[in-house]
Amino acid sequence: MKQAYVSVILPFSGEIPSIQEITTLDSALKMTTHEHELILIAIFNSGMINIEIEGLYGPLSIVYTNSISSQNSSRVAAFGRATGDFIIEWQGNIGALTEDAILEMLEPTNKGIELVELESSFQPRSSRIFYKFVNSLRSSKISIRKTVGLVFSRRALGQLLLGSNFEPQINVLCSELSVQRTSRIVPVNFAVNQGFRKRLAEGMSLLAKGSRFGTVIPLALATISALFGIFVTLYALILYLVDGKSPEGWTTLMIVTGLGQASVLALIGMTWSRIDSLSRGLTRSRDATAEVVVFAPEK
Amino acid sequence: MLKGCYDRVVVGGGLFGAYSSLILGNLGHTVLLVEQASELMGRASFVNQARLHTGLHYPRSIMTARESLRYYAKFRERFPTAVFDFHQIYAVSKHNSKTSPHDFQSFVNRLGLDFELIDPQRYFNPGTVELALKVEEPTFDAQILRKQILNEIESAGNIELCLDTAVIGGQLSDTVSSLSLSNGSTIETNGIVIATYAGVNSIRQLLGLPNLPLSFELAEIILGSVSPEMKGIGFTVMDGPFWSMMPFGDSGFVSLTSVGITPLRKKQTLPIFNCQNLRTGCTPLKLSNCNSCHVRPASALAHQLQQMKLFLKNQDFFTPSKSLITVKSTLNTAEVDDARPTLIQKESESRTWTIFSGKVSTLFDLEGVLN
Repeated sequence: MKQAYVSVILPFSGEIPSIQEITTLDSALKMTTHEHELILIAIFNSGMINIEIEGLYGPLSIVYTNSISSQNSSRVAAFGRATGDFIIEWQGNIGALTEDAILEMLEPTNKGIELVELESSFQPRSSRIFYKFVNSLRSSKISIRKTVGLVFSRRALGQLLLGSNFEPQINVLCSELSVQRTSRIVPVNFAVNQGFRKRLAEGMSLLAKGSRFGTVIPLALATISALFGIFVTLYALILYLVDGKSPEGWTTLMIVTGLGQASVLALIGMTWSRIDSLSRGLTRSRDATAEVVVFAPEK
Repeated sequence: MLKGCYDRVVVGGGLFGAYSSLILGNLGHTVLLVEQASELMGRASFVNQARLHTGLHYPRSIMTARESLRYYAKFRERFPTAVFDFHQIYAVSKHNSKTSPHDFQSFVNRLGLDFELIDPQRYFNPGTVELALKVEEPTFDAQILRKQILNEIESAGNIELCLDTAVIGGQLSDTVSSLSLSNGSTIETNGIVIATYAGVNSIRQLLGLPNLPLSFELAEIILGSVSPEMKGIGFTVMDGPFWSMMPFGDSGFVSLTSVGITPLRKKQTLPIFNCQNLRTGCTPLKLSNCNSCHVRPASALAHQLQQMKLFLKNQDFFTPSKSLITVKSTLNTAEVDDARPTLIQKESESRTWTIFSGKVSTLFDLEGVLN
């Protein structure tokens, strides 16, 4: 790798890595690569981070993304900034990126491998079962993996960026890349630990992906109607169990009406969603980037 | 031998200082132009992209854009031989751009500039650029500009040049101010124009004036040559920390710069950098020429080239020749919206003007003020 320019991308959604962690990694990259750059992605950060860092061997870019951006689109924004011949995206502990670890990650690329997927040995059993189930439903023979690190060749990352116009999830895109690949298990845990609110925001953002005002309103009304129907059912059931009274006729009527409304509005929403997706094409309207701050190399 | 008394003294022999002396000379004043280097316009006036702004560079500051455009025609008319035309291609990056392709095209339309849409894949790698426009935005040749201004100064008759000389002290007054020079002279004058760009705050401190809100950076320009098929083409990738490559005036070189990587060091208030500790004689008041300095910072060429290669299809057309470094300064307000306002400040208690600008074509702002 002494001939290659390597970009290292580090997403963070909580505390920014310490200056010491960054400079240690910068020094490790200096020893293992020809040239390098560091890119931090500030996911879910509402404001700029006050950081003064000097004396790096390679440039450091901090990519701030819009607060409503999903984690995937934030990662794509950082991928778009990476200029390296090889690109490492690392979601594990930064301290684990030692000289040896970097060399080991990049080693398969010497044999023409263009995508290295690094899985954590600490992946919870529930997560493994989830991905096993997902992969059993996939037609593709290549599995989707929950990775703690990814190593791309420039060509592989280029393919992924082009694909990101059509598919927002990076692990799906990785599984679909037509490049030579390998996977490895590494004894490293994820460094990015999101709180419940952030995970909820991420989930909502993913659900609303591709939605527009016209799509959301019918679906929201359908949800309200369905919830109303369910609560009326519960009310009737509780009334029957506690007081022994049979549900009144209005209750049945409301249940039928509520479910009917839900079905009709859901169909309208789905139809509108179809019309919407057909009419606006597949190009992304806006990048997730809010700001990029660059610290030039000094050594 | 200096006379000892001048109507006006201009401190700083960059483009703005030299042009100020011309304006004052044309008004009939006797003028002394003091420059610490051995030639005029040898620092930031020479070491820069040489972009002659038509406003396209400021899609987030329509006021700056219009101001640039306003003076563009005037500059062409005033210094016709210094303007170097070529095919300038403005491109909007697909990722990390602060302006969308639609917004940028609307902005160009609002400015009323002609453009030609070109297929991004003609020059750029797939997926890197969303919009590419061929536009009019030339560069200027600082050497030719210097020659013309120097000729005009010499033929004016009432402007005296004082090279290799720095201002080392002074006393401001509402009637007659005095300046002490490094050659031992003391000059009396009715008015002082400070146009030292990177040395503005240092001179102001020396004269007891408060600092301006400036940041300073050591900026690097890579010069090189291009293969014949890319001659006469320039690229500017927008909008954010991207790069530009353009003919460096009529010099035969092209310049390569990258926002973010080009400024090698950044400092607030005064140009104080770590490299100054490694040598003697380079101070905020008397900045040495980085291009002949043995402790100048390492070049960021590899990173600039890598960024350019990410975008351009043609990977091997550029051969770097040399790297030029200079101290540049920006008004701190420029961080907010990328505006580059020109600052001309008149002190209330003395006839002292401070001139600061980051754009060549705003030169003509001086005429209204100094008249």
